[in-house]
Amino acid sequence: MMDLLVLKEKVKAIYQKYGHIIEPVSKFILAVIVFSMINSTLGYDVRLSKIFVVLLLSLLCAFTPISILILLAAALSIGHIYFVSRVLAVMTIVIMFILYFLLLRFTANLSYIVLAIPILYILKIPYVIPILLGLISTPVSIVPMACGVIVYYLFKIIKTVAGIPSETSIEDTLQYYKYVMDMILGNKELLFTIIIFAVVIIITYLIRRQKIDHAFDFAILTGAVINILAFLIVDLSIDVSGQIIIMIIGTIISSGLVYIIQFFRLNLDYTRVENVQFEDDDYYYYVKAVPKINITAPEINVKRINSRKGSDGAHHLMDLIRDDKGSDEDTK
Amino acid sequence: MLNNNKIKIMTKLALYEQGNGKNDIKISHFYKGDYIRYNILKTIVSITVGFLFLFALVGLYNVEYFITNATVINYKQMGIYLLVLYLAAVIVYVILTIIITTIKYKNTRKHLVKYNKDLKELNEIYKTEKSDIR
Repeated sequence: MMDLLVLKEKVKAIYQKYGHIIEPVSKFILAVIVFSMINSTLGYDVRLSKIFVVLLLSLLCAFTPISILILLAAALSIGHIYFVSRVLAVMTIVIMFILYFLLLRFTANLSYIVLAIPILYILKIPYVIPILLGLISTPVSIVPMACGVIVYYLFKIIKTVAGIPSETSIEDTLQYYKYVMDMILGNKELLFTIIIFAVVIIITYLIRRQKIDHAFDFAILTGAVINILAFLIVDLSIDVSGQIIIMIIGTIISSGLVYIIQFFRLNLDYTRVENVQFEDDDYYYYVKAVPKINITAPEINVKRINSRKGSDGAHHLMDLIRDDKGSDEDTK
Repeated sequence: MLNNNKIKIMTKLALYEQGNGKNDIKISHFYKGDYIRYNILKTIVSITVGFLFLFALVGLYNVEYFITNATVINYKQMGIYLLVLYLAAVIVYVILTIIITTIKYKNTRKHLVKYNKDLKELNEIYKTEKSDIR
């Protein structure tokens, strides 16, 4: 445990020092993953699937706020959908607008969840989101969570209907539209997933707020158990039992991941090296502000105990070498 | 001569202005009432657009029904029904907006008090610098 805590502090120190490099690089990697996943699942348009396009878009995302990544991901998906069917593309845009104007606009700082849920669904571990949100956020996060689930199922439905030709005549287009809407509105899996995720968020949130020992651990555990039980009931009742084993394994992996994230979670107001510029009447100042690092450095206590047979047979403590002299911490 | 104290305070101020302060200072240009009213306006515009899209989606879904029953539909009743639905949503959203923006405004005030304190301190340093020159 001690080693892990030291590791945590070290990670924090590295972030503070190299935050201005780590952030764009990790954003770039994230963007590459997101765009590649969109291309592998919805890659209808070959032009958009080119690695050159992916890298260019990712590079743009590396230096812009996360909302640009979300916007570009949506645009890329719509571009692919437009290639197969204009009706579907327009529908997707309208549904996204409705989600944005009626729901997401009010929880803009949590909008990355909308992107995270479909991506994690592809990785089979969407259960990370509700448990994690219960831990780090408030029940308000149910709103973006629901949007994310809707977006995922929307794309899933689009994938199944994309093969059907849609633009032969106006009547056919209308029928096609009605068919797709029926699939979205009549999707019980979608509805139940939102309900279960909402319940998991609320319960995890309530437990972690309790003033008990290991409240966070209990919260993760309870969230995972409720998730498994609820999906078990739903999967069996609406007969999608093929997913049960994947769901259980996914939940276990998800709760493990949440545990790791919770452990490494840095303070929310984490600081890093900042460069600021300002001026007064006499000078221009280019200041590099470096946060003070108080790392609990591994204090190496080397105790060398040599046992020698004395006359009374007792052991003698021969050496007590400390590498850090005079520190009170050492004597702990 | 460089004044270390002054640089420290200026750095603190610059960091705040570049970070969280950007938004806080923008909000501070409004009176509380104006800020809330401005946000209510934004909310209403946003829901109106959202509802227009929603009605378009639902209308297109039922377009066949509208065409076949165009003469028998009670348009007045339907209009009232849609209007009530829309107004109910507006009321709920406006109440939520008032609560959220009030809390947000209060929080930015807290940050700005500290910012103002630093500004005053900087001002003091300037004053003493000037008097030293004389």
